[in-house]
Amino acid sequence: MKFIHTADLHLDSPFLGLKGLPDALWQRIYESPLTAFKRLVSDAIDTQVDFVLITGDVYDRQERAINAQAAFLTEMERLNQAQIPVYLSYGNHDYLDAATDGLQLPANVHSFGEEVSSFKLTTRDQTKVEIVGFSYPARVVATDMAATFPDRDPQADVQIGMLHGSIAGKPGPHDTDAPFTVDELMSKHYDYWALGHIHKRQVLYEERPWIIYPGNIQGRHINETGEKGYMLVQQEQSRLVPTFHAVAPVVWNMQTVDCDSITSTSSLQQAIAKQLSQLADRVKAHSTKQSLEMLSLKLIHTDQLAAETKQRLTNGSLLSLLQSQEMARLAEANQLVVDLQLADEDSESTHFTQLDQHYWNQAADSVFAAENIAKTADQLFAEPTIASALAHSGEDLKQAVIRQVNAAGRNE
Amino acid sequence: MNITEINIDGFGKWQNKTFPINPQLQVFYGENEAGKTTIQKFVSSVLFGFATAKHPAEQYLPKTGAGYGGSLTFTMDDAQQTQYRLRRTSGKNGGDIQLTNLTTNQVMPPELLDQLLGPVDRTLNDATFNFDLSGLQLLTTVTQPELMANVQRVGAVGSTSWIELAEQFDKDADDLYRPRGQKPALNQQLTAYHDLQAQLKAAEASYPDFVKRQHDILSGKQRIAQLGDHIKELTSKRDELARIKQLWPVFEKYRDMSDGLPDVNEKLITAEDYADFLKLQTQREQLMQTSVRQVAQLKEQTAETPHDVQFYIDHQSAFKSQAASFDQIETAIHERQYSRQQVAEQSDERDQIVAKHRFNAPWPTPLNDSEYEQVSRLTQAGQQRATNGSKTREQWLMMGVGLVLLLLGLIMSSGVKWVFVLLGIAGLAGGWFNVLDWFRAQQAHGTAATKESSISELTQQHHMAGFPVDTWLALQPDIQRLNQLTDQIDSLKSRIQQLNADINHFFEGYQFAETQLPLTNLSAADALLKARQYTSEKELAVATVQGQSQQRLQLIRENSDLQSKLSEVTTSLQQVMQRYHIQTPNDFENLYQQQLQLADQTAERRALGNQLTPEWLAKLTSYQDLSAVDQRQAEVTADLQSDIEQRDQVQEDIANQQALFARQSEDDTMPMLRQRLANMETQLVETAQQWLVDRLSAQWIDGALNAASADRLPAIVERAQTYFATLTLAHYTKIEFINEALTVTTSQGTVFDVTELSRGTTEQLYIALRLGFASVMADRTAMPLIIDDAFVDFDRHRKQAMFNLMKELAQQVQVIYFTADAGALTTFDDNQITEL
Repeated sequence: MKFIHTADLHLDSPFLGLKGLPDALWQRIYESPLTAFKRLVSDAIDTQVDFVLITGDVYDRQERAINAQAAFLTEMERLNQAQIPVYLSYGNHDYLDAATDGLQLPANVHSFGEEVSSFKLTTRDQTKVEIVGFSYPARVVATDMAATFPDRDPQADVQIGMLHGSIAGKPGPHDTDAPFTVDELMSKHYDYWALGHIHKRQVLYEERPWIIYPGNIQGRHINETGEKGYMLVQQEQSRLVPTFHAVAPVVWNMQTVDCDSITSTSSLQQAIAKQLSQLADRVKAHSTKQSLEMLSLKLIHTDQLAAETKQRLTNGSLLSLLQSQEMARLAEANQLVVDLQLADEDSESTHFTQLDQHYWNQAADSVFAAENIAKTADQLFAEPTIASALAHSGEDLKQAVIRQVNAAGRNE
Repeated sequence: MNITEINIDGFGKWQNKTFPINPQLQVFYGENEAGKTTIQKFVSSVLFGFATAKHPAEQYLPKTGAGYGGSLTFTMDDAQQTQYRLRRTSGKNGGDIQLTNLTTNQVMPPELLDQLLGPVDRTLNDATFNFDLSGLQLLTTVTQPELMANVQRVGAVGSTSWIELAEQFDKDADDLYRPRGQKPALNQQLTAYHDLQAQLKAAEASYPDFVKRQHDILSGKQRIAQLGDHIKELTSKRDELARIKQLWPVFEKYRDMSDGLPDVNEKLITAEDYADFLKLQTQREQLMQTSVRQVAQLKEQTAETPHDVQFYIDHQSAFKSQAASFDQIETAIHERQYSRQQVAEQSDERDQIVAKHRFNAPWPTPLNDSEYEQVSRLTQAGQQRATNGSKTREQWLMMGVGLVLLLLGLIMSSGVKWVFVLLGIAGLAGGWFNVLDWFRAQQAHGTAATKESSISELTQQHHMAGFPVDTWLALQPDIQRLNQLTDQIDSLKSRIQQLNADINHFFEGYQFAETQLPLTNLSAADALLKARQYTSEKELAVATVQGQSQQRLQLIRENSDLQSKLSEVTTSLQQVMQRYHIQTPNDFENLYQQQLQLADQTAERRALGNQLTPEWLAKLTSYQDLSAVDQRQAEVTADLQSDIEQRDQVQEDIANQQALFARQSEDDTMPMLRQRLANMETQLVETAQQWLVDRLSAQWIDGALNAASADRLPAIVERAQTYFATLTLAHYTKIEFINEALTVTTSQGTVFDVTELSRGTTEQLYIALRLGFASVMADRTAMPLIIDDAFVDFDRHRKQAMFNLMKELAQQVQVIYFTADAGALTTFDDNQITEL
């Protein structure tokens, strides 16, 4: 018995935080979530898994993504042709909504309703599998859904729970989504909890039960770093053994570049080039799947860097130069620097005299207060995108201001 | 802190130089490039560290090999007035420092320096305690309101540069975005972003269609399946109806037949009987036909024998005996003709010989051999003998040839044989005569007597009168020939007479038939030919007539046989018919055909019944008539047609929808737009953030400056008041903050708002406030106040006032003044002045 567990496909979601990328890459980039999913489906067919679990967020319902839904339909049809059933619980992004009923999926796709329910199947090797889950009826499910999951069915050889949600009490943007605790899940005595919602791959508990977030299959911004893929779970002598399989054609990565004793632009370029080629060699050495490495470089120990170099760093001209050089050898190296930043200052506000520090602090309190930010932004916050990004970013803004003021002070 | 000595190892132009410093007021005087600024930078570098390699101009590395750096000796304002020496030499992080407590003569840890400097760092020091020329000169370029702002924010450290910075940030912000602007970057980005959003919104509007389309396709497929079932149903119904229609005539016949077939009571004619009947009938027919033909033939053959044929038959024996001589007569005719020809030729030759020798009748006769001998002896002989000898040999040869020809003629069978025979006979005869001649001559040769008697006898005997004896021998061949010819002609003539008699006799045999076969005026050859033709012609006719009569006899015999056979057959036929009580063959045939038809009908009905199963019968019976079937068929066909059309329509619709669905599915406009929008958002937020950062930076600076100023202003104003009075030569005596507005009051008590002051006065007010601020700050830090030729533009009175003010300030804080103004030399004490 073997199955694939995946979640958070977000087939239609655009890549965030990208701009000014060479045109030649765009196609590859925005096809990447779908490419990743196609790879997954091909793997499922090739390895002849018994079923596929998708724990929510296939696409964003609000985005009304036609091609994503169509592509998903096509892939489901492929699995249908291969007679591989799919168990699908909708998440907070692709929640059930009778009003905007989406595409009808082929008969091999079994979707959960809003109440916790279960599907039973017997695999080719006669393993009786029971899969329990539910779908989000709306954008938000704040209740503890795990509590309503039934206890283990003694009839089942393998019992799996599908849950799109986050651990209760953890701070962050996800804390209101179907909160659960690991203890709670363990108390159900299932074999495997196929979680979804958190894009970072994590194993919350190892074996009896496995509690696993497979992560999304394609990182969509600079902070969703590392290889992305799905979990292939195989039964080996009544044990379930999950293994990770990378499928993302675009991989984000963060690298720090130590600039100690580097002063000029050309020596910085050399240092970066050296580090990139080492990285490319490493990636080639341990991965067979062709993927594009999208790198964000953080420069540390930059004290010695010439003012001109720093300026070229902040105004982005160095990044553009770097990218144009990389584009020439993209096919072989398969890596591209998309962000090039100086690390935050180690010590802050060096430019402010201690004598006046309390005046600065006093002023900062009012200047970086949300009300003042809103008041200053005024009409600009009529634009929701800007408002949501900046309205509550007082501390970030303050850091940015300090960086800017310090930079200005240095230039004096 | 009061600096008492500056000791430079190497810094800029200075090397191994020591300057003692007046702890109250120290003036450095020197022309431009004298090194004033270098000393100033040395002091701040030793206190706060050397500039790094990033700012080489600030480093003042010594041009020669001297050691970099040097030391400051200073006294702290603590209770013990502790003296320190701070030494800074080249090293990391601004240089290595060595701090010595001169009072206790102890080397102190470098960290102590931070304690000694307290809150003062380079920034604070530069901003608060260093007055430089350029800084004040800037004031002359700023506008009145800006100057006012500077004045009002004088209470913060480095307010001037902060204010500039804040202004720069505000300007940067305005370049990025203005609420009602169009050109700034963010305004443009917002416009582009909204356009893009609208595009995406438009693209999203097709989503419901998309979802509906899939549902339509699926329901269309269901509909096709339904229609397919219905079509199948209707098709089988249609086929059934077609079958019903096809069966209908059968059914109808079957139904009609069921209404009643006539019963058959008569005895059925058996097949054998019918076969016999047919056979007999046929035989009878044939016999009758044959009889008719025979009678007709007989009739034909009773015709008369033609008259000529009958004549021939009547005289057949005569004709036949005539015919027996045909060949003989033909030979005779030929011989006659040949003989006549011979006579003519030989007569010609005889006449020629007669004419040649002018023989008169009776012509000479040839000498016999003895006579010839006799004559020859009488004349001369010899040659003649040779001539006769050779001639005799030729005659023997002639006899041989004649014998051969005769034999050949006898062997040959055709008509030509007669020619050979005759020639052969002629040859033999000719030869024979000559041979006889020869024998005679031989005899004569021996018997020759006397010459004279013999000659006359001979002349008489041989009619040789007129010819001399010596010519006789020469004439002998011609005479012999003449004699021979005469004999031959005579013989031929007699033979011709004989033949004429035969031929005439033969033709006389036909005189009885002169009317039938007229031969009178014909040549013998033609007459013979005609007789031959007639005979064979008539013989044939006779044979024909005789054959016909034989046939006739045969026919009559046959006919009588036939008649008996016919009666036999008729009897048999009658017997057959009698079995069924039927009189005539016609009736028999009719009855048989009737019986046959009935049997067929019965069989057909049975066959029909076999075709119609009970199931089909039930179906057929449910229709009144064929038109009802037709009607039903029309209905079903129409329904089927409409279903098929519907299905085709739905199929076409689905195909269209699927094509649209596929196109929509593959349309990457939306993801591209969405990605572009996301990119735009990134840019937008970034720009907006930059704008906010600019704005907030300015705000923060303003806020901090305002806060500091508001807090310190009363103290600053209090100090500044006296400085202002000094600077204005006691024209203004009071500075006040009223309702957050700065006012000044003259010694006469007139109150001016700062906005009402002249530019010069405002500058003086600003300097007074700056010095007031430095003084206030010095209360806590006591850093030396370093003034770098800052008042060069002041008029003489004001400059003097400034010098006075410095002296005044020196009471409170150490003042180090760098100037190129020689006026200073006269104003200050010598122990306060160092000339560079």
